[in-house]
Amino acid sequence: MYELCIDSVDHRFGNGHVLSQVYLRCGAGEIVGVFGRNGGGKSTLLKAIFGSISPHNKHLRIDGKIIEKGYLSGEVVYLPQSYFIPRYMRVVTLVELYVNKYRAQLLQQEVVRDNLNEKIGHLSGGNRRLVEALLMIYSDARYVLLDEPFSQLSPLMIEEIKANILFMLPHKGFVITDHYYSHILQFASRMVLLNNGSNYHIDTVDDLKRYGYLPNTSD
Amino acid sequence: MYNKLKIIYTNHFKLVFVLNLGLSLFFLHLFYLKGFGKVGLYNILTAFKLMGYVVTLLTEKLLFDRRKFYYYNLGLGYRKVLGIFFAIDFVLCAVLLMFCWLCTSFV
Repeated sequence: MYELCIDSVDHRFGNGHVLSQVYLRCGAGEIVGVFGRNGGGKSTLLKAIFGSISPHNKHLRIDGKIIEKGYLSGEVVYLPQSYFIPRYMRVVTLVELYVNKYRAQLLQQEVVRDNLNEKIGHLSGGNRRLVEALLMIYSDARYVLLDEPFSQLSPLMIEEIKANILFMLPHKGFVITDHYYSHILQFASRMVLLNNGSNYHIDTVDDLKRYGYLPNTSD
Repeated sequence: MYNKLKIIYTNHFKLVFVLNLGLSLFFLHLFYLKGFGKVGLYNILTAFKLMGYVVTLLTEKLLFDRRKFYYYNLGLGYRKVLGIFFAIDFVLCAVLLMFCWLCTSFV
């Protein structure tokens, strides 16, 4: 069974407990949506899985193996909130670096095909973000962590990212955080809300209101 | 993995490589002038090479911190990226030193 599972995550910033005994599971073929207020610990949780921060406590298993840092396993990639690829890198080099198994499928994407010989820094902000997201979605890793992938993108680009995630879904597991909650509600297999350092299972938009993520309007 | 490292080094470490190589060549010149039997010079060379590596590491960590996700997403950590880079530089320095010593010995 292919599965990424993290539990007992504890992390503090100063005196504030950001994550307390948090648990998250994502199997291949699943989209797990993570909601939470600003500063609620969503990015911290993804970074703890990825291994770029070391929480005070965590227990991470990937495909049954205990792993210290997700990125060292080569099975996890992470799309941070801001651009992470140096602006002078050409798209063709990036495709060669990140994508082997699904390269043919990635090269069918218009934004990649049309800008193959361009430097990534020469693309528009939206296209740059889209290319970075596509590189992660089509990478060789089995688990893809997407930290606010829809921010700064036009509705058309958001739909393009969603379509690509769904296309790769049979092969991969996705963990997505974003404040565009309606998109995640539409296509996530499971959803989790981080609130007061703990995680809550979410089924409907009413649950998001109940736990204070959305304003509790009566109509 | 070697292809990934090759792309990383050729795209991001050209200047650092030239600076570290320059340091090696400077010391090579000193060895050529003073002779290869001076133990103190070897100690100074080692100290300067180590300082060069520390400066490289600090520059990468402090000024190019955002690049860490670029490396991590390739399954590479700083230890691997910089460790192999420093090893290549140090071996190159040693090889140049030996080559120069051999040349001066036979001239």
